[in-house]
Amino acid sequence: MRPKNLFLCLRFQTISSRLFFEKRFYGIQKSSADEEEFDKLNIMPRMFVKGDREPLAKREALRPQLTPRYNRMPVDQDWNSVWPTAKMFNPSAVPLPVHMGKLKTVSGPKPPPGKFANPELMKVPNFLHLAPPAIKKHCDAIRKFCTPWPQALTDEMCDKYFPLEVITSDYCHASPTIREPKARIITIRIKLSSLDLDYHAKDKLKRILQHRYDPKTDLITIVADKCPLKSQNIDYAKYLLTACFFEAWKTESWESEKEQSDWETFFWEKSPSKASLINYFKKTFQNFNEENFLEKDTVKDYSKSVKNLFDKEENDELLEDYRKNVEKLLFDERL
Amino acid sequence: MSSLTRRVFDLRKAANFSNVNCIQKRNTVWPSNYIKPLATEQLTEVKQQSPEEFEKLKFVPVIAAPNHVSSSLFYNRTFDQFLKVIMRDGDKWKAIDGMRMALFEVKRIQLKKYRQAKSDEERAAIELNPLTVFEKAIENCKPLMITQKIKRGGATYQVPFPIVEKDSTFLAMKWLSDLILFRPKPRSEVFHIAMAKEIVNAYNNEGKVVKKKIDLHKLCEANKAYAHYRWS
Amino acid sequence: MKHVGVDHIDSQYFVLPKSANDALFKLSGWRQNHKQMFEMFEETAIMVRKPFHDLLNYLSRTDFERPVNRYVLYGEFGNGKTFTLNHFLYHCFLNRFLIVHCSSPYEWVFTPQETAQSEWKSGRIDTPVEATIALKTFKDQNAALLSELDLRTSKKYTWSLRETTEEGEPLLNLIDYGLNRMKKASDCYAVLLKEIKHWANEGKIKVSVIGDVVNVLYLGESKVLNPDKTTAEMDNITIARAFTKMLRNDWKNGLVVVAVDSSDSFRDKVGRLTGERFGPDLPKYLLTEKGFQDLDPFIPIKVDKYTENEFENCLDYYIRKNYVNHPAAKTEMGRKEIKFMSAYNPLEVYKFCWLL
Repeated sequence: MRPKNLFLCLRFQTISSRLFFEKRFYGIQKSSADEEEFDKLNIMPRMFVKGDREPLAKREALRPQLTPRYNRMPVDQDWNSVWPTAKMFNPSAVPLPVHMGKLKTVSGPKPPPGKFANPELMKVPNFLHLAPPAIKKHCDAIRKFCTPWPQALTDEMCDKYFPLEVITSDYCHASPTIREPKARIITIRIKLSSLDLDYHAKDKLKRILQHRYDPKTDLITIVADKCPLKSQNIDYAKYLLTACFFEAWKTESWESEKEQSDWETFFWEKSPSKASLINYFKKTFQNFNEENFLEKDTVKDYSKSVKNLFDKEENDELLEDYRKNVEKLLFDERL
Repeated sequence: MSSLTRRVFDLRKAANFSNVNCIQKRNTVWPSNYIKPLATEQLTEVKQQSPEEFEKLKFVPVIAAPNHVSSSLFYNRTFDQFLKVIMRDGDKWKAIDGMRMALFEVKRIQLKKYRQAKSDEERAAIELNPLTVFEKAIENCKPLMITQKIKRGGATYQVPFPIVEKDSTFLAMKWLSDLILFRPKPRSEVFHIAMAKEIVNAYNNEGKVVKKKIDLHKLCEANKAYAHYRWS
Repeated sequence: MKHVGVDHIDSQYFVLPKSANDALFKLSGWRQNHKQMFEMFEETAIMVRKPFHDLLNYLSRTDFERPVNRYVLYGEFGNGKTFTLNHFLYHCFLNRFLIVHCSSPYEWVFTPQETAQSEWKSGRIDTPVEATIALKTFKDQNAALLSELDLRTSKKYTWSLRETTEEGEPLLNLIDYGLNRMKKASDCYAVLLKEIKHWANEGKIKVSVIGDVVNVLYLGESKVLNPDKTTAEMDNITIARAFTKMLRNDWKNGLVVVAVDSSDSFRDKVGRLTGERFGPDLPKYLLTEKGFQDLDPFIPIKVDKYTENEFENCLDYYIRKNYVNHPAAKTEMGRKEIKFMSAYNPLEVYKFCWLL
C-alpha cells in the first residue's frame, strides 16, 4: 500500500496554496457592507479563537465536491493539449479504464489493478502523446520541408525495378552503451517470380531454399545474423541469394535419378498409373493404338483426377471425380 | 464430536431427516443474489412463458452447475452414482466402459430369458430395460439397519442403528462394487460378465450382496437387546 | 447380365436365410459383436443401402470379357463396410459366382497362430492354421458349385517325393489334401487361387474376390518373425502373397470387391469421432502408394453414415426386436438425442442403445 500513501501526499502538496493557507490560518476577511473601512486583521491565529469557526465535519461537508478531472473532460477535447509531450502516466488526466500489473495474494491471483496509484503504469513509457491526431499535426507541421512523391513511381513500378527489400532495425535506449546486438540482424525479401528462372531452375531453387520460400506469398525470405555488423550481414544475405540463384541453374548428373517420391508434382505420363491403364486396354482390344488413345478426353480427364489425388489433399470430391472418370474408362470406353 | 451433538445427530438419523433440509449451510461460497443454474430446456420454457423474466435472467449471476447433473433424457442418477463408487484411480472412462458393457450383458441375459419364455404373461413379467433392472437390483441390496461397534464395560457390542436413505444406497453400491472388483483370483470371468450376473441375481433377490444384506438384518435382529446402548 | 434376387427395398432390412448364413459365414465373415447382435435379434438382418445398389448397378454393366474391375469400399469405422461386403457376397452366391473370400487378412499377417518355413521356396513363411481356415471357408462357400462344375487341375503339382497332384484331378481333391496335410495348406491355397485364375481366364467360371480390410496387405512389413528374428515382408507370407495377386487385373471373368479401413482396435472413442489422430479414412491414404499402384484404376464406393430415413428404420427395428426399451427412446426428443450422440454412425447408434 506504500505507493498509494505517497501519491496522496503528493496530491495534498499541489492543492495547498499560499492564499488558501493564509485564509485558513488567519481568517482574512473583506466585509461587503462597509467597503471604506479597512479590512479587519486578526492577529491571533484562528485556531486559538473560540466560536469563530464551524466544526470540522460541517466544513468538510460544505467544501464543494468536484468530480475527478478525467470525468469532467469533454468528449471532443483537444487531446494534444492535454498530453502534448511524453510524460509519466497521470491517472487523473487519462479518461480510460487502464489496468496493468499482477497481484498475487494468498487466496490466489487477482485481476490486474486499475490506473490509480499503479506504479506499473508509471514505470513504463506511454505513447499517449502519439495519438493519431497528434501525429497528423506533427506531419502537417513538417510538410513544408518535404518534396512530393514522384507520380510515375507506382507500387507496381516499385515491385518491378526494386524487387529486393532489405529490412533492418535500429534500437535506441538509455544505457551506457549505444550498441544493441539485435541491430545486426537483417532480413532480405524478394519475390520468386521477379527472378529470371526456367522450370528446372525454379524447382531446384525452391528445394535449395526449403522453408525460406513461402509458396502462398511467393516470397523468398533470408535472415542473416552471422556477422557482427549490419552492413556485413546485408552483403552476406545478398551473397547467399546470388549463390542459390546460380546453383539453381546447374543440372547435376544425379538429377536424372529422380524417383516418384522426389517429384515436385505428380507426372501421370511417367507414372505406373499410365502403364497399368495401357496394359488394361491392350488386353481388352486387339487393335490398340497408344498414341490415339492418349489424346482422348476421357483419358485426359482420368489423368487429371489421378494427378489431383496425388497433388492435393485427398477428399470425397476428388474421389468422386476419380470414380466418374474411371467409370467412363472401364464401362463405356470403345476404340 | 461431543456426546450431546452426537445424540442430536443420531436422533436426526433415527427420524430419517434428510441432512440437506435440516442442517443450515452457512459456508456457501455463493452470494445470496446468485441464482441456481437452469438447463437449456428450462431456459427455453422461461423464454416462451415470460420474455421479461428471460431478459432479467440474462444479467443475473449464476451458481456453477454441479458436474454430475445432465439434461439427457437417458440420464440415470443411480447409474451415475454407481460410477463414482466403482471408479478407481480417477479413471472414469474405464468405469463407464465397463459398466456400459455390463448393462449390455444384463440386457442380453434378460432378452435370452424373454425368448425362452413360453407364455405372454411370463414375457410381460421380464424387465428388458437394463437401467430399470440395475435400479431395482440396487434397491434390493439396500440395508434397512446397520450395526455399529460400541464399547461398554470393556466389551464391544454390535449395536443396531437405523440408517438414512443416502447411506444405505452407498452401502449397497459399495458392497456390489467391492464384490466384483475384489473377486478372488484366478478370475474365471471378465469384469462385465461377472457384474452383469451379480446385477441380475440381485434383481431377482438372490446372490451374494442380497445375502450379505439379509445377514446384517439378522444380526440387527439378534442384537435387539443392545439397542439402548445407542443413547446410554 | 440378369441377376437373381434383386427385389430388395432401399433402406429396409433384408433377412439373410439361416441356411445361407451357415454356409457362407460359418468360419469367418462376421466379427464377434456382429454374431452377438444376430443372436440377440434371432436373425441375420442387413440393411439394404446405397453402396450395395451401386455394386449391383456396376455388376449389371460389367463386360466380363474385359480384365476384372476392382471396387474399393471406404468410409468411417462403423459405417457398414463389412455388412455391405457380406450382403454382396450373398448376392454373388445366388448368382453362381465362385467366391474367394478373405474377411480378416490382419490375422494372416499380424497374429497368425503358427508360422513355419516354406518348403517350396526359402524365405517364404507359411501360416498353416490360417491357410486351413481359408481353404475350409472356400470349400464351405462353394461346395455346391464345385461339385457341379467339376473343375480339374491344369498342371501336375509335386508336393513331396511321394505326394503329387496329377493333372486333371478334381479341385476338391486338392482342397482336401490341403485340409488333411496342414503343413501344405498354405501352398495348397496359393495353388488353388492360381487354378481359379486359370479357369476364369478360360471362361469356365465366374469368380468374385471379396476382401475386407485389404489395406493391411500393403503396409509393407508384417509382424511375423523370420527365423533370424527380423520381421517378414508382407509379400513373403504365402497366402497373403497369393491373395494380393488375385486383386490385380491380369485376369478376366471376375470382379474384385474390397474394403479398406483403418481398422485399429486401439483407437479410442474421442480419436475416432474427431478423426484427428488416425488420418483420414480415405482409400489412397489407406492403401499407400504401393496398394494404389496395384489397384489403380479402381472404382471407389463410399459407405456413408445413416441417412435420416435409414436411421428411423434402424431404430424402429431395434424397438421391434426389443433391443431398445427405454420409454424416452420412443419419443421424438429421445430419437433426436440418439441421433445427436451417435452422429448417424451405425455402430455408434448400436452402441449408444446398449443401455436403453
